[in-house]
Amino acid sequence: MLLSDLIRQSAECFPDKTALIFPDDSISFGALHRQSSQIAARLRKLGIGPGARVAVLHENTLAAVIFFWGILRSGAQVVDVPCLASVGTISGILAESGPAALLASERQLQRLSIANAESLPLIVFTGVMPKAQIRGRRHHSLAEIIRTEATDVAPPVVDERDIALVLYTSGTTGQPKGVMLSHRNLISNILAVNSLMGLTSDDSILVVVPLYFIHGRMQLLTHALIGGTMAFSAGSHFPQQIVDDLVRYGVTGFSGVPYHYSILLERTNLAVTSLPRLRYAVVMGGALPPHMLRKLSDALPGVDIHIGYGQTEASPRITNLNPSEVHSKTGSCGVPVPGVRVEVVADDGSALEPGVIGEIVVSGPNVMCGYVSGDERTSKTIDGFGRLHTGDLGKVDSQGYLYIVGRKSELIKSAGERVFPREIEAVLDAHPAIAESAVFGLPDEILGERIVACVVFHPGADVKAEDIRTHCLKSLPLVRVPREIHFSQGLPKTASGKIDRSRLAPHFHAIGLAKMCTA
Amino acid sequence: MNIANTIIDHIRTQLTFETGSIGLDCNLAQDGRLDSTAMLELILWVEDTFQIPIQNEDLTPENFATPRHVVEFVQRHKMAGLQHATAANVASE
Repeated sequence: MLLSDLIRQSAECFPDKTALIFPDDSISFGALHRQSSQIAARLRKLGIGPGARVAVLHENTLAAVIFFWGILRSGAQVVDVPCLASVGTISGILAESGPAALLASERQLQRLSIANAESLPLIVFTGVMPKAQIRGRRHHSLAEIIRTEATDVAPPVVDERDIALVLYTSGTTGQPKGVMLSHRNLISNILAVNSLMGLTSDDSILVVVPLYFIHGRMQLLTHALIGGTMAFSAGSHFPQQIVDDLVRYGVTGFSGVPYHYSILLERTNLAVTSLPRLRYAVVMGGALPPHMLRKLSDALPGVDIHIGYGQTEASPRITNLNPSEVHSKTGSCGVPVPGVRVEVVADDGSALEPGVIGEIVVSGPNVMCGYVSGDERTSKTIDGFGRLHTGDLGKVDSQGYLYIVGRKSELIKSAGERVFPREIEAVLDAHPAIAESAVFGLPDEILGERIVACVVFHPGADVKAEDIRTHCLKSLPLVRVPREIHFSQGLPKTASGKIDRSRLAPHFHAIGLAKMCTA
Repeated sequence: MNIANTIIDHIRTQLTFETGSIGLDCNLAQDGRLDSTAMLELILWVEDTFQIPIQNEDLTPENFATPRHVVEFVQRHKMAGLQHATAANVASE
């Protein structure tokens, strides 16, 4: 089975049923399949099909979803590009992935064309024809394609092991990594998760996460599989609006990262809102502290709360904790989803006994095909047995429940985003007043972890915290900008002169660094 | 600096870095300028800077979708605060 079969089958079973609801637009499964087939027809005419890539740089809109399915229907691969990334990062992603064409929103196209028009592929797609076209590029709009293209297009000639989706996620070196996932990777994972969740065509979900992350893509794929409706929140940036949308659309499901649940519990009237149709809520992308989990259960009586653990490289879901065990297995992220094997291993790769802490490694049909950069083995992310090394430290109990206790890498998880310190440090170190910097995470009630930077200035430097923040924002979205910037005379070092990351947080606490700012 | 300029300047330099200009009617969320954490920071900053107690029910696009909405929200609250203070003074006289 291929991903494009999901939408074709739902269109055959539920042609008139609403597939997607946006604040000012909606579409049925039948129309979604027809229009995405027209996109595929145009792509094929342009010589884009199996083996080619099409990048998607677009906020959550109906056009972006139609194109997503159209690209898959053509047999090409979708490359998801994070909209909030800097132009430099986006240009780097386009250079590495080498897409034959780009779908971009007008705003994103404007950003790129002003700053780095050379990075744009020769073929550019948009929802509507942009006001200003870019010289040397062939423009195509969804509106024109739907007016002119035929709807009958032959199924793509690709294998389920072929790449379907490339998602960019943070890398340890500071450069985003392009994770290549096959049709088989993704379909095996949505089938496995749905065998636990038991979703049917009666289910629907409110979407508050960007589609360019695996979290969003999985919601899209799962609801195409079941023929369920997806409602996109009119204001996912506004906590109370999310609650209002849960009421308005009467959805049966919701999925968010701990940050979403924290703000919903702290800044909305969720606890006193009646949501009779809401059946389940999924917590992904990090652990919700036990007291918040209790608060969530109290706020949503009768709603099944699932806790999941995953990462993009695992397509993404690795484990699931069933609702009945959420409070009896406190701190656990559950057991492996069907077909997925989890081991906790020592540094030499050998399996450890229950209760012993080691690195969590994963095997199964969900493990990625590799990185676009091709360094999944040299970076030891994939070992000689084909196992995915997650970089997370954990242990299993005697019943096989997994507990995550820390990280082997320096990864910071803030508001559900993976952030590696080197990416932030490279930006800080480029500031002319900064001699060196070190970035680490500290626990945070709302964000999970907040990003903290210690900076050492060159002698005589006179700089305000606001200037450093503005400097960071030139290269990073706010979610990656340090929430706290602290001044230090020096940083803890190893014998070889490298920053000693294991001593950063203790160093920070011991000397009570002068805080320059708190966001 | 007037309220509008203060708000736009804060968004432009402390919440996002825009190569283009941010106008009063830029949709901060829908156009992808701010993510949800940045929007929450903007709300907390408005609360702190303009000394406005922001209620949960105030956290809507009607109050924060564009810089103009934020300016109008701040002006409404400042006006309400002024009227409240005037009424309190009259009552005490």
